[in-house]
Amino acid sequence: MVKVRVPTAMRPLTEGTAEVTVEGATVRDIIDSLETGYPGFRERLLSEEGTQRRFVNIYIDEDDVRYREGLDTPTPSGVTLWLVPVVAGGSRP
Amino acid sequence: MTNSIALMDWWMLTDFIDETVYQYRTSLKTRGTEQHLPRSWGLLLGTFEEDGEAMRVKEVAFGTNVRETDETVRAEFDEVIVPCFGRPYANGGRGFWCSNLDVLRITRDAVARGLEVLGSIHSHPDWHQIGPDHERGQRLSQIPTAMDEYLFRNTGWPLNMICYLESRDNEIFHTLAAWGPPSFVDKDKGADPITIRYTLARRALKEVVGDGNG
Repeated sequence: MVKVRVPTAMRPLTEGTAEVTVEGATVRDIIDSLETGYPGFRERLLSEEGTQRRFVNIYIDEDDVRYREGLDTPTPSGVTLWLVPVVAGGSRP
Repeated sequence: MTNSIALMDWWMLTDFIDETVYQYRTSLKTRGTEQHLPRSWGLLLGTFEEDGEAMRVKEVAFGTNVRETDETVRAEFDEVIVPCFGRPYANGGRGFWCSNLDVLRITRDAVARGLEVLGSIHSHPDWHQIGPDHERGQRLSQIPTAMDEYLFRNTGWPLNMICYLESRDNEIFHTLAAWGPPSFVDKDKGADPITIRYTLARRALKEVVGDGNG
């Protein structure tokens, strides 16, 4: 089982729950499990092509999965997956 | 869970506004040059009220801007933002993008202290008055731009604040406004405004509750 820390930006998908526990051997499996239990996660995390969106980062404890094996990164039982949307903004001059 | 109200102490944004005004004043001194790029921003930390209607902002955290240095960020600007929202965004001095590691660090630290990252605040200067001559006429306000709404939608943070600065009569005025994230599903829907409510300043509070002397 893997704990998933849900950011406030995605809390509407879990009806306000900050941390959920799901099963999955890889990040991709975890996203599938999230989608099954809380529909809408896949769209928030993955593009239509199935790649990780630029606007959200996924960390296993402190490791960014982009710099490991991406969506195929293993998720051993007991780790915490942190979903962290980017913080960005900008004004048109 | 509507999150339609943001509560905060009246002094909560003091550090942010000080930084914003400092950058704004600096930009006035370098008007018309490449350094003329006032920008300031921060992450808003706080909690959700139990009624599901309000958020309570309790801290502002600052991070590192990687708009010009991170390859993924530059790709987002080059491939999506500039083609969609215009050439001005090709200038790396426009806007901000917080280091992802800083967001993670700030998030974990906040959670450990019982807080959450609620969103962010950034500044809009009165570019139509202070901008370089060739960029005059481009008005900014506390209202989100199309680019702002694009980022609000894709990041999804529940609280997105804008601090508008304006020079008049040798003084600087500011306005604060807040917005929720536009629907991630319905791309035609814009951002809904969030009401900001401040605690009373100490002197005003004393006047309200009385000081025991009648």
